[in-house]
Amino acid sequence: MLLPLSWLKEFLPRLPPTPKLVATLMMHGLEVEQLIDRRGQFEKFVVGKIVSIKPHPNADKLQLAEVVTKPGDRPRQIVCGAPNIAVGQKVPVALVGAKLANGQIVESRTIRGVQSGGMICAEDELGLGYNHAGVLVLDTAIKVGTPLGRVLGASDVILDLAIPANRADLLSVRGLAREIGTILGTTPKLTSPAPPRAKRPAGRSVAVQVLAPKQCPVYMARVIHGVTLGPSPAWLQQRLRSAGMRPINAVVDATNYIMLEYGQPLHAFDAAKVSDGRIVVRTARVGEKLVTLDAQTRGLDPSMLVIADPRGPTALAGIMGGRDSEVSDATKDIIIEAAIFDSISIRRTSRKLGLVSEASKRFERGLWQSLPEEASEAASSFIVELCGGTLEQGSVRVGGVKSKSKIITFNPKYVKERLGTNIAAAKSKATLGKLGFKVAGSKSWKVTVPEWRLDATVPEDLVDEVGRMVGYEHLLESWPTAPSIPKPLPFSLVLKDQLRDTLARLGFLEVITHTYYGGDESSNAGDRNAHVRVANPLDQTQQYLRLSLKPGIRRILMSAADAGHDTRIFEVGRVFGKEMKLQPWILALGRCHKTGGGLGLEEDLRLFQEALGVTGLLRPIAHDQMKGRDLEWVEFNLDDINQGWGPKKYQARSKFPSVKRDISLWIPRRLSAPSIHETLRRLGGGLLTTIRKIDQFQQGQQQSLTFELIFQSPDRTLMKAEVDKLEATIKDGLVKLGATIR
Amino acid sequence: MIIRLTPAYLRALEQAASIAVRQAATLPALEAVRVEYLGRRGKITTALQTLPHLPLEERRGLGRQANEVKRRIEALLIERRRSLPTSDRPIDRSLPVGRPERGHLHPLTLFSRRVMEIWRSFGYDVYEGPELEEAKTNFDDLNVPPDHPARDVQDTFFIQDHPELVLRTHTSTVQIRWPKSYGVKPPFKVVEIGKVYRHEATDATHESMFFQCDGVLVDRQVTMAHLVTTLKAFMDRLYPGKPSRIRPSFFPFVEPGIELDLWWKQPSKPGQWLEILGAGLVHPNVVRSMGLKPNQWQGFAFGMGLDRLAMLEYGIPDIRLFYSGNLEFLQQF
Repeated sequence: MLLPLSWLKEFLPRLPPTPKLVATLMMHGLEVEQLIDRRGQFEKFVVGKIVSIKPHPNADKLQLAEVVTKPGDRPRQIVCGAPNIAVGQKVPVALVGAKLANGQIVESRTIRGVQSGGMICAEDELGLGYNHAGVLVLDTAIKVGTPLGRVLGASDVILDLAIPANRADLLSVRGLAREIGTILGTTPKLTSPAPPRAKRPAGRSVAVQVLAPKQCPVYMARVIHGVTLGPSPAWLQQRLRSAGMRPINAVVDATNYIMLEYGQPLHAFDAAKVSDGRIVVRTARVGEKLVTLDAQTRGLDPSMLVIADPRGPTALAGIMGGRDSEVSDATKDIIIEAAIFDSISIRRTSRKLGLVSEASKRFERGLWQSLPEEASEAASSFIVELCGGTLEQGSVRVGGVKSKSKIITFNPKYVKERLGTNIAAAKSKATLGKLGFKVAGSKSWKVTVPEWRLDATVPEDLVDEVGRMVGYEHLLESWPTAPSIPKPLPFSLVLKDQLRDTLARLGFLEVITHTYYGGDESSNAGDRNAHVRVANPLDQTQQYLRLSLKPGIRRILMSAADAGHDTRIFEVGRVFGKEMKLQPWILALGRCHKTGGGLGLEEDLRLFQEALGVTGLLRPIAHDQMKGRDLEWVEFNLDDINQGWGPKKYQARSKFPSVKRDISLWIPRRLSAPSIHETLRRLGGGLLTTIRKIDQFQQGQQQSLTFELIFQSPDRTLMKAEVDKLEATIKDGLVKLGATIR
Repeated sequence: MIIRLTPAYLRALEQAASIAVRQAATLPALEAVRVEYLGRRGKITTALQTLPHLPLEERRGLGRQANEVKRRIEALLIERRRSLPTSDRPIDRSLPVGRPERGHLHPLTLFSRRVMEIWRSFGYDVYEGPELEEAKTNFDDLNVPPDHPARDVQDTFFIQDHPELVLRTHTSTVQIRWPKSYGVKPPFKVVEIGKVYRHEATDATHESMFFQCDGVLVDRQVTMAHLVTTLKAFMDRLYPGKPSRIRPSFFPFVEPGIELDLWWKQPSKPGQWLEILGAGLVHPNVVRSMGLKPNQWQGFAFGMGLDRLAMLEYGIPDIRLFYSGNLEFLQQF
């Protein structure tokens, strides 16, 4: 919410210096997201009056305007391309040296042979909006030479406040004045204006029927006859601009002003355009359409609430008015609506249509019972003051039984009990009082919650009211004494960290990929129908929850191959199948390496098992080729790894001499390293204690490997014949496997 | 050989040794010189061994002199060794060597471990809940009513044909899961670190998937003072010496609610307050969701996003790098 300080000062005349104010508000729960200082903006911009216009001698689309910018001075000539200038208009003039919103500095220059001493500005050039259809035309009542800053709300400092989501009451200047006053320790002057004096007896010019009382618990309508429309006074326009709203005309500006001040959204209908003077609040019918104020045609459905007359919808309730019942310069009589619409209904419609307004924001948070009447009265007085006309006596009101006040039973000691710091009961009472809570009782309090505090329901809320005002920085230091014997870490956490550390030691790179993927990758992961589908993916890559880590690993390997890099990667993460409770943890390994450049992922896997101390991890390794590189990947369920995992045991070295033998062999590409290892280990038996690959090279389609085998017995010296026999058996086995002994 | 240790003898030894060092042209020759003077039976060593037999008044001066001589010879040897080629074929130190292949843990793994380690040192248990979560646990149990804006399809990933499930939007679910699904009886204190999901378009500072750390403590009497003290202690472990501040805030599952900001100042840049974590006293409705009675049990809870902290810590400009599989990025950690 944009809060102009000049407006706040009407209720709190003495504010601390702005930086101090900002810091204080921040520490008491009102976050200033931005401090907008408009002082100094629009330097060298003044209000000018166009006294004559003639065509440009050398250009069809340009005109020469004579503009007076200082009372008594000779008019200056300005070349202007806007179609809407007219003699007698008051317009914003950028003098030579002024800086436009786009950063450009205005110079005195010659445009197509004619001297131009300044610039008449459109909205966008002033940084007020995006309109560039014509120059901004100002109220004719404004004096020539007035600095533009004073007209456009540029002399103000504005706080852009982040209002906590639970505080409906702070979306208003009055609500903020009460809160900020309490924070600063002063009491704001929140007197209500005198109720408007009606000059015309109660009439029958409007009838209201609420057909959807659940969505519209309160509806009030007031009628003002014979208003004179036109632009609102400059100060009002300035206020609205500072608060982020665009001035429209006096009536609309007045309703907006009252909304900003009180928090109650209001709507003004042109009474002549409300058929029969009948207002019906109902849900929309299938197929109904409404052209809203922003000139968009909105398709409606029965979940949406509308204000209608016998002919059809005239406004989208609580969100935006309809174009056809809009107040215009020709309007004579107006109907002012002040209602409460159900927050959930408004929010749903607003989301459905993608239409958020200052009004819908307030209805979404909720309003309190007495607000429509208070704001309706204030608006009526204000409009009569600005536009003349006579107020019809009384209002038409539907719904709105006075709700019972909420009372919270509260022990003042609870403040200390929950804050952990002693705060005197008197101080708590005073703070609550300033915020509008009524405290009764001494030992046990009955605290009456002010009706605008929709958020306060439990004692903890009252603790927060006091705590917030004290400031949570000022609590005593205190360490909680809760249980001190932690439980063991969950096993999956321990195992995951072991896996990560082991793989990192082996040279693997950890990756984390997204938990979802698209249709193609779901097919790669197996049966697409086995996947859990995301109901509302933002794009194609979020359609399926992953059933496997493989697609993600493969994606990274492919980009590595594409970039010509060798790499080894792993990921630990959850996958999701139709058995949704399980969400098992998976480890996936991947490797991308130059074709023929090594033994591949199977060798890595063997080393990994050895390093981690697990056995029996055998899975088919998926593979692919790309740009002269082999891509390989495989995944394991953590539960399976856990099965084969146990503490490592120290093995004492044998005291007896070992025998070393080297075996060199050619292997065809299809032969895998683990099967060679497996053969070596199986045939070598218990006496073969170490297998070490010591050489490897590629020749044509064949690969040469040399292994060093170490034989040793724990309890005796090996005989040569014995080792010879073992070596021969091993070689036989390798040949049977498809290898050739070199 | 019986020698008589005198200052002159020491001077002579030093002179001879320094000449021998200079003349040694190979490493083995230099080693021979070392052995001759400083070896177990070397001349200096032997000379020092005679010290105890000397009269007391001579001992101190000679001892000091002998040790200085020893040190100077050692220095000469080291200096000479550096200037000698190590083998017949001298090494060309300008040649690049192959970079040894080393593994890397993901920066978020590294950062999560740091955070986890601090909470472990405070005695907190660790929990891991499901990522695909029941909407009830993710929202209702945490005092987020069915029509709260956070439950919009705009903010949450829902599951097809399963309106009762969501991809969890926060790890605050630990508040419910630990006592209710895991069945832990109070008092307890526990943290969870894990993935969470938001239905949000991705850019340099927003991801649809990221990591959070949430924690909850439940006991008979738990105060804001306990919470603030705990959070300040945590921040002081994570970023020693960096100022932090606590200000009121609002989250549906706590009351009162607060936020903690950290003063982040980098050299040559202006400092700024950064919102780091949200916290508060567990709302009585949430205590009820835990299956506990609010008039018997109280608690505090806190939660923080880890990605942004890790980005600050490591100077990472774009959150998307974490999940991109960009090898060049991952190799830096």
